[in-house]
Amino acid sequence: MMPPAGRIAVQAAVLLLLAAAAAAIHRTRVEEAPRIVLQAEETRPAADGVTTPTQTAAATPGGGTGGAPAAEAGEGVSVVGVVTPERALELYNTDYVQFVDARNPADFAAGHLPGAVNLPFGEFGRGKPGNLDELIPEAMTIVYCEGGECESSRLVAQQLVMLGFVDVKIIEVGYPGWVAAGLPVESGDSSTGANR
Amino acid sequence: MSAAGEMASGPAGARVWPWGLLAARLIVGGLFLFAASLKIGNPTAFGGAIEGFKLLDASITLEFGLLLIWLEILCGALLVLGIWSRPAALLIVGMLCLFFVALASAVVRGLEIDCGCFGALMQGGIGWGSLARTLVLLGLAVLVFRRGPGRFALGR
Repeated sequence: MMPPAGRIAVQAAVLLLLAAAAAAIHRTRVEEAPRIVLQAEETRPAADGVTTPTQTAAATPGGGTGGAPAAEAGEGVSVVGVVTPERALELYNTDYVQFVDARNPADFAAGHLPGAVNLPFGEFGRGKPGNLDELIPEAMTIVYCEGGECESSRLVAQQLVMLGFVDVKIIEVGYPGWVAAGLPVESGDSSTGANR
Repeated sequence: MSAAGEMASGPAGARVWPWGLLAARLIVGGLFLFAASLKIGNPTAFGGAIEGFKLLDASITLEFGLLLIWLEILCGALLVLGIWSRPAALLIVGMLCLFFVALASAVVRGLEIDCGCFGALMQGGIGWGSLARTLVLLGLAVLVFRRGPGRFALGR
């Protein structure tokens, strides 16, 4: 005999309440993700005429020659620098930089930035992804994805900041912007991890 | 005889329906349990994935994500066991409708995001395939809600 609709509704409400209670208990054990504030790097002319990067937001200094690292701009808020492809290549050539490709493995195999490590956002679902061991938290890390409306680089950057990466930046125009700028790419599904 | 059997037209239908409902129950319940297991290890990542849809304020995506994960666990387990199958199927129908609207709006807006549905197992972004998969699961969940749990249910 089919249970009356009222009983099904009450049972569904009980299940909803149980799930809400479990979620509330679970919530007390989950670390809050930092809010990521993207901050475009500005360039200012230095005394010797060479442009150097800076940031307009309050950010703690340190972390190599590539500008300020991802920094706490307030409680629970981290500033992540946004760099152009040209600036990212400049940093790659002069500093210890590791590129993180947040796209899916098929796109990564078809072409990626030199030495990039493939770290799709979905890999973080179960905790720390395996590829994370190829990265050094203290080094400058530049994340990219498909550019445009792609959210993956911001989400991966947020996870990296949570995991203690001190200097995280994003190439907002992503891989298409890098290719459009005529900069070098690699193909294949393996990577070296960094430029050194 | 089960409710499904009673409603089936003819003896052949009476034999097939309970097994079909068991399969639908196991497929939907199993998939929801599996999906939750891929996300529960890092709920903040799932909250980030929800934030990517730009439908909810960022301050509540983690809480909403946790609620979805625990609903998936609870309803998935109950469907697999065949306990309170209809209310569990009703909640799953509600979740799948929500997922469909969110996925469709992301496709229409051209968002290049991870759906977060199956963690690392689905990294190709969202598209018509994910919409079709959601519709198939929705059909199976509606079937269980309308007809009941079928064979080998520990409850009703």
